[in-house]
Amino acid sequence: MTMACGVFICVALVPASLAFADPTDCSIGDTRTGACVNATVDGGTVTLSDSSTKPGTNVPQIPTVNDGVFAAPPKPVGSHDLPPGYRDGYGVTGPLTLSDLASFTPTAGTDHMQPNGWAVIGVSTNFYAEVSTQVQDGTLLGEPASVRFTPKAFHWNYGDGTVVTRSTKGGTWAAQGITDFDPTATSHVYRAKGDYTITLTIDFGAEYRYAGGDWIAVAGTLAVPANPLSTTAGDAKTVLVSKDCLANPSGPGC
Amino acid sequence: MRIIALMALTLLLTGCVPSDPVVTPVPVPSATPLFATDADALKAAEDAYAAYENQLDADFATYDTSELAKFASAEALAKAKTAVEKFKSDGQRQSGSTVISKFQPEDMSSLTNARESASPASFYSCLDFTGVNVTDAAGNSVVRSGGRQYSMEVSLVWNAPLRKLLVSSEEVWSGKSVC
Repeated sequence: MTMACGVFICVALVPASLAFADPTDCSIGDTRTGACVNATVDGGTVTLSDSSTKPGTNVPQIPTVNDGVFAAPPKPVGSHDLPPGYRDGYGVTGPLTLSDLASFTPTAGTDHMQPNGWAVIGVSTNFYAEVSTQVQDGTLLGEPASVRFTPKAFHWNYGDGTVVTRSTKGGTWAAQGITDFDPTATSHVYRAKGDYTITLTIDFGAEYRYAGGDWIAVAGTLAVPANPLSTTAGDAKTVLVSKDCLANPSGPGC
Repeated sequence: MRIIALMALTLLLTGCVPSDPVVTPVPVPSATPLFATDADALKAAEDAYAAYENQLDADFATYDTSELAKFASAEALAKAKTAVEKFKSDGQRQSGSTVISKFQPEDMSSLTNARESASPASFYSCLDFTGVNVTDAAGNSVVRSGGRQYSMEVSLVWNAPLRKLLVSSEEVWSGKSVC
């Protein structure tokens, strides 16, 4: 991803290679081929469910030959309990319905911040998410079923009373080709000293594909929390680092 | 004395006769609903929906959607034509018939309330495709093992020129199953 930046506004440019064809709703043509299944969103999980009914048979079995004598097959135990319309043990079966379901959960994204674990009051702290479109595969009634999760929105709670929703996951200062502490589309400026906990929830859209059909949109979105972050905000002179950052570059404040 | 009497008569006449003509309200028949009873409305809607499904079955078999506008309008018509076109481009063809195994009202007040007659009425249906087969260009069936019954949400709207109900939208219903 590249950023086209003006004085105040940065626009995220998504390479065409990352774009997918828009999923369609389940069409009346899809219903005729059985390409649609029931797809529901419950919290952070998409569940696909379907049932298949095999018709019964009414072909009587040929009596078996036993030592030259025709004999009817033995009557199964408990056959008198079968519901009306079902005959037993003589080659006549009722319809058989198989139900199946498959659940799919997207892998949670990861929240990052720059600088890592500290912030300078009055200048930008950069937050970004590590997440991408993911396809998960499974089976439903023996047929291949896949669900594709696409991150759509990013809800950051910066812990100081500021809650924002962004349409971009952001990126590091280096990846965006800008200088450290420059504002980004996902940065935040703390105005007061303190310790803050930052939370991120990512909304995923979902589509499913069943038995090699087209992608079909699932109604609703999945809100999946990412890892929380902690930061200490102070002015530049009072921010402490843990040990020597050259010796321990991943330590707090480094 | 005669002058006074004449003036009194004049006043009497001009004062008692209203200057504007009397307007007597003409009884206007109240707007009549499309259907007198819920049962009539439901029957008409189900018949219209069945005719639409019959036409769809024919269109997916012949790729000819020229008759579909007699049974569908708006979004339903556009989506049906697109779906039939996709069947044609994929070389798929339907045989057999769709069965409406259930049909029940969601909100059909527009059919029995005159003031809402321009609004669509909505219904739930269960479509059974057990008797439908779809083959590809080579004649092989492309029907999956599952997905032979679908719950649908259907809207129908009154078409005044045709004096009949047309299906205006039909979507797979993802809520509680109707089937």
